[in-house]
Amino acid sequence: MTDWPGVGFTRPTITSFAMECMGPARITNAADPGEGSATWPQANVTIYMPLLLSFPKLVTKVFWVNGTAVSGNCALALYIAYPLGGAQGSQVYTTGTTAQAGTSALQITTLGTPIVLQPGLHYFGFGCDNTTAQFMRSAIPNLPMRIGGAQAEGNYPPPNPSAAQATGQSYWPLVGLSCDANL
Amino acid sequence: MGDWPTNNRAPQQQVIAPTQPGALMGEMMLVGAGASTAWGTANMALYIPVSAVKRFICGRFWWTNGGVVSGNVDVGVFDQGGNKLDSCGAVAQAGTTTIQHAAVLTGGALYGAYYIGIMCTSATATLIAGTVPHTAFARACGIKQQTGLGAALPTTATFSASTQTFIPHFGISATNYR
Repeated sequence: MTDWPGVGFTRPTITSFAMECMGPARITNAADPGEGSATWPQANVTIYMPLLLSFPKLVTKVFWVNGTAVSGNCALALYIAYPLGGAQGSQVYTTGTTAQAGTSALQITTLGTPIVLQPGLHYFGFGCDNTTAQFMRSAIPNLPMRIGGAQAEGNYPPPNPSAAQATGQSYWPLVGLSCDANL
Repeated sequence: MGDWPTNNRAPQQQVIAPTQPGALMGEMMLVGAGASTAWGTANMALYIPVSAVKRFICGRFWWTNGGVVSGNVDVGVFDQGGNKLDSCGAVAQAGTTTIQHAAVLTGGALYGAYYIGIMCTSATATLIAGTVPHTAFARACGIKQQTGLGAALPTTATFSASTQTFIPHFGISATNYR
């Protein structure tokens, strides 16, 4: 029997709902309303979502998913996390502030220079400058804090270092990273 | 500083399917419960991103029929470049609301990231599938589609972002009895 060669360890696209991020934690809460469009919960707040990678991950694109209304600006950043000692995360990539455009669709940014995230703990950091903009999201009360999420109030675009604080948000936006040429 | 952990002790998967940890398990938590769903487009294939973190021997392919069966079904596995590695070939869909199995043709081993593909030749064929929460969801998950196929999955898939609103329950078993 011939073995087929492995062509990489991770799926091309990893979202904030993937096993590497939120994962199955939602099943612990019966109040999960599911995913849908909702207004951004607080102007100029960055929401952090942990991303635990077991393998190196090539990143050529990042994206978020807009809801049914668009407004103002938003930005998505990637961080290396330092879970021990209380150090803030270091930003390894950011889209920079970007006008939100296109309802109910992926808004994709292609990296000028692809990066490789090494195995370990990382964070998505996603922020928006207004509360009219809508994004596709899940909203489970207190879940972000329970699974390692954080926020940075008054920090838009996502800062470097992360300036992460405890969060009471339930808002968990659908964002992602990818090396998929056909995303 | 300690070494980064490895997956040397990760258990062997018994099944590769959309609901599995190496695939879309997290995202599938947001997808509706499985229900009989019409394929909708004849000769269309859907491709689901999956991964095998340990060497996975393909035992047989399977899918779950809905309340109406029609035409042929083909299930296969593709590398990330779209090259077909194995498939069962066109098989007449038979048996409502039940799992249908088909033998692999070459029975190779998987290790890494792949796509599992499924196609139906009939628009009225039904499979058990979950409904996605919105139309951009399948694209965000990295699911691909291909329309205008012949009688079976292509030798080389042409991936385009999925616009479908359902994710069928199908996959590969590591054994020939599961």
